[in-house]
Amino acid sequence: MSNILVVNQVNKVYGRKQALNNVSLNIAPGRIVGLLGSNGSGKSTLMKLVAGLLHPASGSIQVTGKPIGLETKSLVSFMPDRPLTEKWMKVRDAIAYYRDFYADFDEEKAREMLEFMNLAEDERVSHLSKGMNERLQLTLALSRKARLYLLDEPIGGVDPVARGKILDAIVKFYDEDSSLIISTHLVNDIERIFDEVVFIREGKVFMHEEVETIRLKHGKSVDEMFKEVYAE
Amino acid sequence: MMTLLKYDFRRSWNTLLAGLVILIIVQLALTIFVSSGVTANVLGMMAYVGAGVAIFVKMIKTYTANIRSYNRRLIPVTGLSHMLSPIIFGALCGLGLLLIGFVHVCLYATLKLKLSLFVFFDVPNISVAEVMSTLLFTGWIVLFMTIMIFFSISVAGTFRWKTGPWIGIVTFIVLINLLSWLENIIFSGKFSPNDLFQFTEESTGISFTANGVIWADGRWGTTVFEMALAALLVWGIIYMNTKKVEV
Repeated sequence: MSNILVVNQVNKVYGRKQALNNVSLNIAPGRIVGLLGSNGSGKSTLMKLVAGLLHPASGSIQVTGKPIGLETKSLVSFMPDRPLTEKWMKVRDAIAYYRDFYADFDEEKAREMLEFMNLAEDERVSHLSKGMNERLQLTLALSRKARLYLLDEPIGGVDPVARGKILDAIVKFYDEDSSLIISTHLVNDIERIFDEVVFIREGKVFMHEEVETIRLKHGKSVDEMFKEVYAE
Repeated sequence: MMTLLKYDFRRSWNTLLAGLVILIIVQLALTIFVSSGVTANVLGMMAYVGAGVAIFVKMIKTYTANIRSYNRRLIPVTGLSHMLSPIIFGALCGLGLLLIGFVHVCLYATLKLKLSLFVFFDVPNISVAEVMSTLLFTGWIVLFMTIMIFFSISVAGTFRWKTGPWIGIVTFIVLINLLSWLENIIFSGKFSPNDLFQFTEESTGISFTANGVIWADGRWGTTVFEMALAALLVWGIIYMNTKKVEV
C-alpha cells in the first residue's frame, strides 16, 4: 500500500538557524507514529510543513501522493500547539466552525467525544482550563475523517488525569485506516500507543524504528532510548 | 467564501454593535445638546467619517488576523476567498453606515427641518447618474487602496523578522508613489481625484459640490490601468499567501 506521507529531503531555515536538515520520512497507512525530540529539535516545524502552515526551503512533501496545498488541507487534520478556536466561541461554535469548513467532519463523533471528554457545548472556549482546552482541540482534530492526523504536543502542560483521558481518547477515536503522528517529549506517558517512532535531533532524523524493533534489537523501552539519544 | 464572511462578522459582532451604539449616542447627544445647527452638523458628519475610518481599519485588521491565524490558514478555502472575505465585510459595514446616515438625514430633514423627502431627488444641476458614478468611482478608489494595503500586508507577512511590518509600510509607500509616477508618465496627469469634489468657502458657510465623473480626458484610461494593476496585485496577494506567508 502506498505511503500516506512522503517527506523527501526537506530543508527549512529560520534566518541563520537550520530548523530541518535534509529530512526524509515515509509513513504508511494505519500507523501511530511518535515524533520525538527535545525542545527546539524541529518537531513542530515538520508538522507545520506537512499541515501547509510553513513552506520548505527545498525538498518536497506529499500526502497521499499530492503535494502540500489546498487539496491536502482536506486530507490532513492538525492539532497545533496553540488553540484553533477563537475567543468569542463557545464549544458549540467551535464544532459548527469545523462542520462548516471540513466536509469530512463527523458531528456525531464530535458529540460522542465531547461527552467522553466531559465538555459542555455551552461552555465558553476562553473559560476552559488548559487541560479542557486540549481536550476540545483533540475532539475537533479527531472528529474529522482525515487521512493523516498530526497532533503537536497533545499532552504538553496538562495534569496526569487529563493526560490519561487524552491518550484514551486518541486510542478510542482514532480512525485505523488513517495515520497518526504525535509529537512529544513526554515519552514515558505515551509510548504505549506508538507503532513506530521517529527521533529528531537538531533538525535531522536520527532514528526511525518500529517500537517492537527498539525493544527486541536494543532491549530498551522507547523512553530509555529517548533518554540515551538526548542525554546532555 | 460566504462561510468565511459569516465568521468574520461573528468575530467582530460585539465591536460593530458597540460602534453602532456609540454612533447613535453621539448623534442623539449632538441633536439634543448642541444648539448651533452648523456645529452639530459638522460634528455629526465627523462622527460618520470617524465610523467609516474605524470600519476601514477593522477590515484591514481582519485581513491581517486571518492570514496570520492557524484556524484560517488550515481550512481548505482558496486564497482568493481569504482576500475577498474581509473586503466584502468592509463593504457591507460601509453600506450599513451609509444606510444609517441616509436614514438619519431623512429623519433630520422631515422631523427637524420639516422638509419633504422629495427635495433630495430634485436638486438642480445634479443627476442621479452623476451621483451614482461619483459613488462608484469613490468605491473604486477605496477598493484599490484596500488591495494595495492588503498587498503590503502580505509582503510584510513573507518576512519572519520583526522588521516585517516596516517592510509592509515601505512597500505601501513605494506602491503609491510608483502608481502616481506611472499614471503621470502614461496619462500626463490628465486626471486627479481632487477634480471629483469642490469645496468652496463663502461668508455664508461652506459649500460642497460633487462634480461627478466625466469619463473623458484619460479618466477611463487611468481607471482601466488601475484595474489591470489591481488584478496583478490580487494575483500577487494570492501567490504570497499560498506560497510565502508563514504562520
